[in-house]
Amino acid sequence: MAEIPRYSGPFGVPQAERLLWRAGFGPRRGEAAQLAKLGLDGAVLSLTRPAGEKWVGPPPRDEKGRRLAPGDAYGHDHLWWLDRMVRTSRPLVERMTLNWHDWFATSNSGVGSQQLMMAQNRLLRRFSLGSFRKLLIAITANPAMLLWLSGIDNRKDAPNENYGRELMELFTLGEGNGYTERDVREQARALTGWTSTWKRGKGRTDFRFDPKRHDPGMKVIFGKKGTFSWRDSVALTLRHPKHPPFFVEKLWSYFVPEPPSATTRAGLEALYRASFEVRPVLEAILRHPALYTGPRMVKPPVVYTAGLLRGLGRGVDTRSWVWLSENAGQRLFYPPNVAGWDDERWLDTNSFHGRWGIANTALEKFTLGDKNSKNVKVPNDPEAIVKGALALLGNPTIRPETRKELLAFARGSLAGATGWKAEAYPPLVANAVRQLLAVSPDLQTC
Amino acid sequence: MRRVLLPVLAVALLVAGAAPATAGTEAVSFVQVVEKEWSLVMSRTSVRAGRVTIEAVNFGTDAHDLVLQSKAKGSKPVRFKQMDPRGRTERTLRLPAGRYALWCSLPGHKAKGMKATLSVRG
Repeated sequence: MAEIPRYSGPFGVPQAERLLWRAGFGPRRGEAAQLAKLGLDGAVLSLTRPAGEKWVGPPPRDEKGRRLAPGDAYGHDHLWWLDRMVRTSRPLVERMTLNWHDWFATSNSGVGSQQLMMAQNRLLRRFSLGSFRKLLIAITANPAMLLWLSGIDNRKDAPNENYGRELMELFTLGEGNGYTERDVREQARALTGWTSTWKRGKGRTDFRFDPKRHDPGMKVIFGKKGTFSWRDSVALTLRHPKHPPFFVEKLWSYFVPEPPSATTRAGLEALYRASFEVRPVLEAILRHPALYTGPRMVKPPVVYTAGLLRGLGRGVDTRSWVWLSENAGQRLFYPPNVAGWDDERWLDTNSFHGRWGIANTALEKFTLGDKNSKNVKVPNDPEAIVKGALALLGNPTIRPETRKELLAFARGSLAGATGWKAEAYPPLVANAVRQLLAVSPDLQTC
Repeated sequence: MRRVLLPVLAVALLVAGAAPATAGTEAVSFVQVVEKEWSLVMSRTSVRAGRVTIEAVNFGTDAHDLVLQSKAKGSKPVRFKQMDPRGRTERTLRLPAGRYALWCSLPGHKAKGMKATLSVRG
C-alpha cells in the first residue's frame, strides 16, 4: 500500500484552528488551544471518534421566540440545522452530514416535504463517518431521493434514467468516467420497482419496493450480465475500478483545495477499497500535510455563519439566517441542482454582499453605543479597540497585515476625535472594526 | 365596556370555529400546507387543540390561496391571502378540537384535488 504522508510540523493553535474549520465550524472561545494540547493524532481522533453529543449554548428559537418546527415551518429546517452546527460537540459528524448533503444534493424544491427532507438529513448524519456502501444503499431507497431523482416513477414498463445516470455521474464515478449510455439505460432497468401510496392531504407515503414494478429481465451493466436488482446496481457501481479514485478525490476536495498527489491518492484509494469505510480515509486526510501547509479555502456560507456564532457565543434566535444565507448562496435543504453547490461561487461580488449581511447580523446583538450598551465604556485607543474586536470574535488568528489594516482604520477614524467626539466616536469605530474583522479574508477563509 | 365585549367576542369566535390567536407564552403547533397543481399536502394531518400556526407555501406554477373552515355547524371560513408561485403566507389561529376542511378557493382548484382535512385533537 502506498504510504500516505503525515503532517509532522508544529501543531499549535493556528493548526488546531484550521482543523476545526475544515472538519467542523470553527472553534468556540479557547477550543483551539484545548485541541492543540491533544497533539495532531489526539485532535484528529477527537473529531473522527467523538464522544456522545453534548449541546453547548442556548436552544434555538425563531425571532418570535417560538421553538423550531423543522418539518412544519418555512425556514425552521435551515435554522434547526444551523443550530446543530453552532451547538454541536461532534463537529465532524455535522460537517460530514453537510458534505453528504452536497454530495447527494437533494432539494426540497423538488421534494416538497420538509418532513421527508428531515428524514434524509437524519440518514446522512447516521452514516456520516461510516460505510459509504451502506450510505449509498440507504440513499438509493430514501423517499426524498426517490422523489427528487424520479426513482418513484421508474417502473419496468416506463424506465426513468434520472437516478441511474446521477448514481454514476455525480455520486460514484464522475461524468462519462467508465460507463456508457447503454449502462445508464440498463442501470435504470435494474433500479425499477419503487412505489408509494398517495393519500389526500398527506401526499406520498409508504415508500416501498414492489417486485411487480421491477424489471427482472437480463441486463448488461459494465459488461457484466445478470438479472440485476437495485442492490446489484449499487454494488456494481461500487466495485467499478473508477469508483475509488472518484470517491477519494471528491472527499478530499471538501477538506483540501488542491488535488492530492499520486502517492496520496493511491494510498487513500487502497484505504478506501479495503472496506468502503469513510472514517479511515477521513483520518488520513485530516493528518495530511496538505491540510496544514496548503493554501486556504473559502468557508461555505453556513460554515462561516455557524463559526461566527460559535466564536461569539450566540445561539440561533432569528429566521433572518435563512435569507441571509440564501443571499450568500447557500440555503440548506435547497442546493441549486443535483450537482450540489458550486464553491467557485462562494465569494463573488453578489455572495460577498450576502456575507457582509451575515457578519452584520451576527454582530448586531453586540453593538456598542446604542441604548443596550450605554454603560459600556469604549476607550479612545485604537489598539484596545482592535484587541476588543478580536476578543469578541473568539480571538481568531489573523495575519499581521490584517491587524495593521484594522489598526490603521481605527487610528484614522479616531484622529479627529476630540471634545465630545472623544467619547462618541470610539464605540462607532469599535463596531466598524468588528465588522471589518468579521468580513476580512482571514475570517472568510480557513 | 371593552372588558365585557372582549370575552364575549372570544367565546363567539370559539363557537364559530377558528379564531385568531394572540401572542403569548402558550406553545404553538405548526402545520405546513404545500400547495401545487393539483394537490394540497399537510406536514401533519393532526395537531393538538390550541394555538396553531398554519403556513401555506406555493410550490406550484400557478397562484393559489388557502381557506380553512371547521366542519362544525355554523363555522366561518378563515381565508389566507393568495400566493404567487414560491409565495408563502401564515396565520396563527386558536383551533378548538374538531375536523377542519382546507382548500384552495381559486376557481376549479378544489375540484381538481386541492383539498384536505385537518384533525385537531382535544
